[in-house]
Amino acid sequence: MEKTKKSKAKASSASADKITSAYRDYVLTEGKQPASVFKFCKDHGFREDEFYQYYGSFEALERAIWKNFVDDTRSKMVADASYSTFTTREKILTFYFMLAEVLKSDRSFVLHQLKSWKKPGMVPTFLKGFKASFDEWINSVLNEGKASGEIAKRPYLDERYDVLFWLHLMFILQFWSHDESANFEKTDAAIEKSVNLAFDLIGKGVLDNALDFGKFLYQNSKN
Amino acid sequence: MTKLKEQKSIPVGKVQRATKFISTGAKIGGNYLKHYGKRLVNPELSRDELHQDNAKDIYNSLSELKGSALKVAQMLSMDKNLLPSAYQQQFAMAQYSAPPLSYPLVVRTFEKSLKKKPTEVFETFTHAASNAASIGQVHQATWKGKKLAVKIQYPGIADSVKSDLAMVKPIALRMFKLNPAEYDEFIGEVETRLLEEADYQLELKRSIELSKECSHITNLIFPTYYPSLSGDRILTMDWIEGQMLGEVFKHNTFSQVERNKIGQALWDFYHYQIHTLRSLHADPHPGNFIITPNHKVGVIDFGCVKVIPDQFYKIYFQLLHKDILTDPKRLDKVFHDLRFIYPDDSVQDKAFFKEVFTQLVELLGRPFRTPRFDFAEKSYFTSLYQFGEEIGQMKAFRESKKARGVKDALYINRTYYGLYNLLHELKAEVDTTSFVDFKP
Repeated sequence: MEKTKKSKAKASSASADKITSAYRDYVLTEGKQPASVFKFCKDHGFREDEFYQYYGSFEALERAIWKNFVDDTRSKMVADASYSTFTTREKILTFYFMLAEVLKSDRSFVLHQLKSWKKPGMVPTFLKGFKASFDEWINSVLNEGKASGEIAKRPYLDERYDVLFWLHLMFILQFWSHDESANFEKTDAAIEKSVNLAFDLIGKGVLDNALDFGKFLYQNSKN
Repeated sequence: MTKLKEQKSIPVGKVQRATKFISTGAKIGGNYLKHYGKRLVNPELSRDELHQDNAKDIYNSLSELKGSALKVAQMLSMDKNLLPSAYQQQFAMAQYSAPPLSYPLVVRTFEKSLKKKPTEVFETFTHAASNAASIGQVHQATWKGKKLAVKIQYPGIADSVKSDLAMVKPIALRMFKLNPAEYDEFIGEVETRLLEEADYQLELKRSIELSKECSHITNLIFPTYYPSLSGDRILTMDWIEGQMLGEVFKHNTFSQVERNKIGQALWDFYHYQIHTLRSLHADPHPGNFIITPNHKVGVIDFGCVKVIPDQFYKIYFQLLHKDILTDPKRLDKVFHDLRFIYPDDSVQDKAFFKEVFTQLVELLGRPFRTPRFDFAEKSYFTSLYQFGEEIGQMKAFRESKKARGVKDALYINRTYYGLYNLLHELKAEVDTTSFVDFKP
């Protein structure tokens, strides 16, 4: 199945790329979505059915652009031979650093899209594919971490770690979008520090002891 | 509150000192909590109490630190000038306690600086750091068969220097009763040095220059630097085999002759820089020197360099002239030029400060007044500390509205204190006349 997906994508990639880059261009120069798929295609010399061959709507196109950021990061990471020798913490750090690098070349578009994100509690449509790809990746990495013992197994709680990391990723995205330091150095520091903290929390240690102590106090307070 | 807390022990070692500062930090945090807690109940509450609480905790903590560069400044004291060094030390500590950079961040730094992964640049590159540097860490690498030390800087240091210094300003002004203009002058000097320290391009240039200029000094060695393998946040040099000077202090397995040899090399290194180059490595910290198996001193960090302005040099180093203490007129002029004494001081103040500073000059210049000086001598350092302590207690000092001293002296004083302390811990006897034949 993997194979067929790949070959299909390859056969059509030139044109899909053309459409997305034309779309990016339009949005960034005009500051808004094109009036209609019809108008957009006419202005750029596509046939409308060519557009629908790849994307059902502008929203679907935006989702694809965002999903591509994560997919790109993932494939770049795996391409480095030493990646497989990394600890879970290092893998996650590498992911964030690379994602920041990938996003850098599309910063204007990313910032423009993030501006339309009004409700932080909700995942906006354009991020849905991005999230799905991230969730898939983070779960596999977290499972490796649990298997190796780097991440503490905690009944019920450890099922939700992927949610925590999604929120964490959103924090980094927000931080990066407001970062004005040269070369986005502060984002690097924020990634490093926050991942370290996250791992101190999900690793064995403080939290387990705190929970254990809390349980003890609770049980004894009933007497 | 009325009784001063007794100081039971002197904290030693970097970790302990860092802990000290962390606990002070925690207390200050607590003071803020207390302040805002009270404000909830009583919105009229001024911030004065908060500042006093902070100042007290900082001061208590500072006065417990002997032997550090801080004490140093406290000594040369001019009391108010103590401030920048004190904070400078504090920031240095905060940086030391930063956790090591993760390997992915090291890779990221390489990609940003050199557009390549470390494994693409070097034949081997250690996954974990082998040493902590002042604002980063050191990895060991091999390149063309050579063993190299690669220093990598933590991201965002330059920014944090600025914000740390800005944060401290209100507390500092209150605590040392400095006026903002004086504060800016001194803190400006500290900020400049700290920012320079974060600039590896500059450090690379200075390292190459200074090590070339000093290469002829006996028993000193310098690593070769590799500009093509260095960048904004990366500095690559030869790996020098040996032990850190701090380790030497701890194990103390060297003979007196060996210790004197090391001490003399350090002495000559500093005085050659001061009197001939007029530009010096202003950070005599044991972590910046490596002692090789044949007892040579390897200098591995030129991050903090102070250039001595000619005008200042001419005035300041008259204090080391052997006749200065018997020539009251000249001494008087130097004191005025260095702003130890102001023309508009009262007669009483003039006499007071003159006496204190004369004593200080005598004490600090003592090693220069004999051909050889034994820095192992405990009594000398005890009297130095005691005098510093006394100055700290003097009301006239604490309450003087003027900054006594000039900003250029800050890092020179720091260097001398650092050097004296290194030699003291090394228990070295040194020929102090090697570089005093300068023309004031």
